[in-house]
Amino acid sequence: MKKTRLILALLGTGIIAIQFCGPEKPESVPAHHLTGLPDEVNNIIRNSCFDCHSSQTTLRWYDKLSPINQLVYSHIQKGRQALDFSKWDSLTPATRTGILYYSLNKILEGEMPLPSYTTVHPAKSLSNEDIQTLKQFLMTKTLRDAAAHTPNNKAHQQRSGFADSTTTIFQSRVLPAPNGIEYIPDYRNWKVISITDRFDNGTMRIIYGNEIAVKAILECKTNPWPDGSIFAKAAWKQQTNADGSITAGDFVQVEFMIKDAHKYATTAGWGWARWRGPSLKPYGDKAIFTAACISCHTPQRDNDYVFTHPFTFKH
Amino acid sequence: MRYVIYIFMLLLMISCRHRSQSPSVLNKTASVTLPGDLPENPLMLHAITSAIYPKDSITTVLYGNDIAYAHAARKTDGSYPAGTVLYEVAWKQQADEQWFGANVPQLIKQIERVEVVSGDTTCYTLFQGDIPRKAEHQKDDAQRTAFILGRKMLVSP
Ligand code: HEC
Ligand code: HEC
Repeated sequence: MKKTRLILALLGTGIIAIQFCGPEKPESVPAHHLTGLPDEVNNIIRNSCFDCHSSQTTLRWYDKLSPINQLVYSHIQKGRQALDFSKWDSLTPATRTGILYYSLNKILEGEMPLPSYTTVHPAKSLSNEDIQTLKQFLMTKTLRDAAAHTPNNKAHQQRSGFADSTTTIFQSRVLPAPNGIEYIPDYRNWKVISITDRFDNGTMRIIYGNEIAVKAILECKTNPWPDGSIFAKAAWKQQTNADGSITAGDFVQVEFMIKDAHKYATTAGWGWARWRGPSLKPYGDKAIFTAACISCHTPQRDNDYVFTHPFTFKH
Repeated sequence: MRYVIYIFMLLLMISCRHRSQSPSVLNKTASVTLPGDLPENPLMLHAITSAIYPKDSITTVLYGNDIAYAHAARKTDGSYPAGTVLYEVAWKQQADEQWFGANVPQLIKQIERVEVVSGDTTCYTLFQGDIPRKAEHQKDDAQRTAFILGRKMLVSP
């Protein structure tokens, strides 16, 4: 009995002691409303996200206690690094819409706000109504129509020719991605495993699978996908025609996921790469660009980080 | 104490459990699972282009056999050679459950097949139903054939 009391006393003194040498409290600078968003949307984001994703952080007294504050402050620091709503005004409208769709999807997956945070601060979680409000607002913000009104973009002239000699020439000069992955030129000959109409950002996408991936589909062995499976996702701008139909406009980008559980062990078992625009410019400055790919694909981790539910090819 | 060891061992077993194959998530309803009257599975062919009809929530892919694909890649005037087989597959769309902001194929609404028999002779067939069956020829056969033959290949570098 005496022993327990001693331990408790020691622990108590320890906890009090570390209050004086805890980590530094993050700075808090008031963040103003997000331009272009209605009040109800602003309020939801301010309430649930600003603590970690803006310069303005409202800490409760218990957030400041050591050792809890270690965790809280690191969340704030990492959160601000990943996404900072205080920089809103410097972003293009397309980027803003992209961030909002990404945010809503993180909310729908239950990843944001961080569950560890909402357990302690229940008032910060989003209600079903909040989610409905965000959805309804975003449906009015799709980029599909924006794409429609771009006055005669290059698509028309571009659409009339495929793989002309100029394009084939520079295929041989495509630079590798910053993580060393080489461009794979023949994905257009692979099987289509799905198509997506991305009205959020006004693109249409075709997802191709290489032979190994298609074999895995035929054998129903797609979770995990076997080493050597490759997906290519190509995106084109949506071009709205006079009759309301949508056809493909300019080529936007092609992205690859290359499965190799060992070689790519540090990046969720996949090699990630993206080439943008008709000149196939490798995307990303440093090899770490893949962190963003993985971060957005993480809600699919139980499906080997793959979003697409492919067609079956049994006949 | 013994319980603690048991629980510890149990936890260890759970955490070390080998991750085995989980069930595949395939989009069966949007695939050709039964051939019906189709001579082949169009989804196994080459994709030439794609389109979306938002008013009807329809999305399409134009597929072609090797002859058609090779030709479409080079020429865009719709003058496909004999031996060309094209399929215009139309899906009803559904909201993507994995991503708010996307639509994905839900089920096949119809499949149109155009075969170029010789220079001027083409053959148009329409397939409909869960198990694709040849459907009544429509009045606008010729118009649909011209439309399908005239679709241009998606441009990519
Ligand atoms: C308690 C702190 C906290 C709160 C509150 C919070 N987040 Fe986060 N968020 C983080 C952290 C930390 C990361 C980085 C996580 C990582 O990389 O694993 C992050 C990452 C993200 C990302 C990914 C950014 C990227 O490029 O990787 C998005 C999007 C996001 N949060 C949206 C939201 C939204 C929307 C809300 C409010 C509904 C929210 N978050 C609330 C801490 C928080
Ligand atoms: C903001 C979220 C987001 C980011 C960031 C992201 N992806 Fe994806 N990715 C998706 C979604 C959603 C899909 C499903 C297809 C669709 O809707 O376009 C997808 C699908 C894919 C596919 C097809 C296979 C699959 O998982 O369905 C590939 C390949 C791919 N992404 C590569 C990449 C690469 C490479 C990067 C980084 C350079 C990246 N992605 C970054 C959201 C994202």
